[in-house]
Amino acid sequence: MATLTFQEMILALQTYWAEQGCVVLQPYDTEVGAGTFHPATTLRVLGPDTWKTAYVQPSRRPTDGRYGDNPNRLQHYYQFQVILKPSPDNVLDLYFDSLRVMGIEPKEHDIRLVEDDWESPTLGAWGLGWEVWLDGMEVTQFTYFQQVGGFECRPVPAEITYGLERLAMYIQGVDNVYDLIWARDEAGQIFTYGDVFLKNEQQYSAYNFEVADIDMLLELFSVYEKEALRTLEAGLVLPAYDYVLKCSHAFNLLDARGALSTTERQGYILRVRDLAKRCCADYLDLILEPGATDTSPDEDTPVDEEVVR
Amino acid sequence: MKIKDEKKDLLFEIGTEELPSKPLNSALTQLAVLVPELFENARLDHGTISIYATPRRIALIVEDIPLVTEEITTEYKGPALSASYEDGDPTKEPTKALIGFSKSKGVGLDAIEIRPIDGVEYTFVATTEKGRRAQEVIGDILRQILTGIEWPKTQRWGTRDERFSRPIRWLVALFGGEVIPLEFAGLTSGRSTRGHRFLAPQAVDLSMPKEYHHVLKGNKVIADPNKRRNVIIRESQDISSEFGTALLDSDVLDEVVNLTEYPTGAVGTFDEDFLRCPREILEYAMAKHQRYFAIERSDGSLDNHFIVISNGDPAYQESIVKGHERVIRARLADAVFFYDEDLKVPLDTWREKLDRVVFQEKLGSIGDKSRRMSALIDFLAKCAQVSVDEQADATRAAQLSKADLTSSAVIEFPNLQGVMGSYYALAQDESAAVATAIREHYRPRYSGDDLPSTLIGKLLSVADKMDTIAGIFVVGRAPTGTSDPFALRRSAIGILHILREDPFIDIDTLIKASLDQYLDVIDFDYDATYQAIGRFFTSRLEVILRDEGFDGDVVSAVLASCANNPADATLRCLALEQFKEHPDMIDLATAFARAKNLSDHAAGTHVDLSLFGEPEKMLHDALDRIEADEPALKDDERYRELLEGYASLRQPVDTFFDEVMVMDRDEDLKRNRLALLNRLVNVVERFADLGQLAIKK
Repeated sequence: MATLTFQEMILALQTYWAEQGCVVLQPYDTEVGAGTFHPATTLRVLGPDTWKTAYVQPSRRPTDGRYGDNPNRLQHYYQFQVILKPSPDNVLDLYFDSLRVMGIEPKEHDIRLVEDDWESPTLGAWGLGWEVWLDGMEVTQFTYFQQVGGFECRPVPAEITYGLERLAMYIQGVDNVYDLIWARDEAGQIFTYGDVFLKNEQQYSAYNFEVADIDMLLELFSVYEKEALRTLEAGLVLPAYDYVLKCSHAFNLLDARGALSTTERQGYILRVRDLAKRCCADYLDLILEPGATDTSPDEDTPVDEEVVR
Repeated sequence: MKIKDEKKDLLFEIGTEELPSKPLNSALTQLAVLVPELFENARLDHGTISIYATPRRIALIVEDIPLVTEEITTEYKGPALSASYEDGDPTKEPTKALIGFSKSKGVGLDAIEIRPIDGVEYTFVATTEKGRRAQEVIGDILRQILTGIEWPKTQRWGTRDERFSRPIRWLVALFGGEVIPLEFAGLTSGRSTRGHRFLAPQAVDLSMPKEYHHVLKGNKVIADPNKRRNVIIRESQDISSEFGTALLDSDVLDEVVNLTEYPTGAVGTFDEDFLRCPREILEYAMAKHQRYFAIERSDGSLDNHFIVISNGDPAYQESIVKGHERVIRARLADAVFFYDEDLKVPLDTWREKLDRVVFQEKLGSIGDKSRRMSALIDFLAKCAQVSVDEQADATRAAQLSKADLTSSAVIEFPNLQGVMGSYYALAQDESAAVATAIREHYRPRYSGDDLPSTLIGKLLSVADKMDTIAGIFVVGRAPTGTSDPFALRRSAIGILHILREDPFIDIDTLIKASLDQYLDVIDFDYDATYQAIGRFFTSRLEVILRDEGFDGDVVSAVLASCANNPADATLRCLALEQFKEHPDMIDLATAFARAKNLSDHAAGTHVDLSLFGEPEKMLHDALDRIEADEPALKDDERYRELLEGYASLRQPVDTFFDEVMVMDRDEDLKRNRLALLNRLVNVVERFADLGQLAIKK
């Protein structure tokens, strides 16, 4: 098999997971920090129903911007996200088969699953799983969600998150993300990742670190927060959740601008978490028969403490 | 062979998804205790128990298990014969007492036996519990093993409610050639195991427990972690010999043993240019990020080769190593980039940045902290009577000690705090003494870690730790129970170890000097805080001394008098520990406790010699002699001789108590005798509260 381009890799993953019965979604149309924040993960992992989905999610981490100078770090990058609820018994085999469709034969490599306990303070979520190492390179995070929004996940979903750029760099044997081949036509014309995104990284890094208007962002955070609460009051959890995502992105930009002290930072994280938890609770109310289950959140599990059985 | 004597081996394998390394090791330690205990509780005899593990399985083989559990006969004593039958005659009617007894044991009256104990006849019943079939018992044991391991974190999976460290995917339970039926988390036990996830993915049937290792090895799994460890060590040594010596970091070794089922060592290379970086960064990136072993050349410098322990197929080793080389290249390129960037920034510039890094919400920034440390180290340096040059070095070291916290390298590799600061200091022509102090001032970082090697390093370490302790106590966040978020206990223990080696200041003075720095920072109750920190240090010193093997009563006795000086306290404990079994000492301790009980501060210590009788005079003179010798003995730390002096008090003290009535009706006599006792208590307590030794007698 010829080495896959970046887009061929995405297509191969989409086709593969579609064949496994996943709903192939498109990226969520709001800025998020990771594929986990897509409502198809955050909200739909809750509740008793079966759910299988796969999608690419552009992810924004303003603080990771490096003005296009760093070969590995980007403020905007792509995750490929898979959710399988309940986690099937052969979920790891399914994952390893997905590497095969991208031309990676696991038995020709040194593959290790290295303990990685995931937690998201902003989502009130945690789970256990691994980093998947391919010849020493972390290419995927694999998590069995245990709790989201403070609610136990029953059944337990498995989340598979591929770092697409890293995986592509490995597959294409490239040391600089901007040299990745995104697309190649029959005449051999090539578009690289740099062709597509270098200017974005330069401009957005400058914006995130230097230009973004702090007062406006502080104002927006409050406005979004208010709108989220108002929309929740109106019984509309799905649009309300959009405003939680907007709060979260405003917070990330404020963080990149260095506008928040340690204490303030903690305060904003807690405000986002409170909103996210309320959305999770209201979402459960929405999908469950009234009174079918107790949807008051479980005791706040302090996410920095070990969860002991 | 009779069934009774027949024995079989048991194999139990819990097949899992990849288990985390440290919890797995803890599980193996637990199983070494739990498994024999479960067999014992079930009264099932057994031979050798062996426990194995890979990332994907926990296995145990128990040899020579009999087919039935032991038969147990228990004899119970009933009422005396006289109370068991009418007139005590077994041929007559049984009493209610006997009927009740036999019923409670579930036997008829015909099972009653009669035997004398010490000439009195009693009734007895013997019951026999039949042996159970081993197969049933083993099923119970295996279930208890599955649920009996305590994991630091557990998870559920799929639609199941069971919990384990990671999902369980198969169970093998073989007793001899037979499967022991067992159900757990929707799985049914069988004889089918799995080989290496990628190199031998098919299920493999086992016919007997004995072939376990052989079959697994054939399927690219070494089940015994010790064997994998040996393979890893041997291969690492072999491979590295061409370049130097493999540095087998013990944490990395423990982890790679549990990251591989079929380990192979391979050597990789990185660009020699990276070696201009501080070796600590390179070693950190190799060990902590990638789990590689570094190689040291024979001249002690780092080599540009590394060892990777692969779980892959040796046939593909070349391309596997290439992959690893690319990853470490990217990591090291990052590290070199940070280092080069950091070198461009003067340390004093970073120092200014520290004003924006929060130390503690109410206590300001790290910049504020380093200014307090500078003031404190000036004082400490004076106490330690250092030279003018050293004084300057100490001040400079304190100013720069935290500067590297804002450097890119330390933000990326937080464990290298101090280390990077020392490199940057040297690169900017700070003195070697300053650089060394910066490098070592976080020591001791854990129990048993080295102390700073230089006096300035010690001063800096004490200033840093003491400032944190004082500040955190000031804001009322002292450690409670298991909560010690600022690791104050470890800091206090560090200070105590340093002051034991180099007693340049006493604890009280140190606490006050540090608290004084906070007077302008925040309002707080100075005396209460000072007392609380003092008690905190005393309790840590007590832990240290007890951990070193001194008896609790010796430690308590010494710390009652000498908690302020940890070095001296240690010497006193040594002397007292050796001397406390001296017969005079035991008696003296009792007499001292009595004197202390009677002592009355109001009576003072001034005695009127004219009121003395002979016993009082004897004691008074003995105390005079001791006090005359005391300063010289204390200065030279000749504590044994001092204790011999105290022991010589035994006779006069005993005589005093035997012949003198302390609580005399004559107020003057009484006061005079109490004053003498006060003096005795004062003299002895300057060394230790010997009464503590008497308490347990």
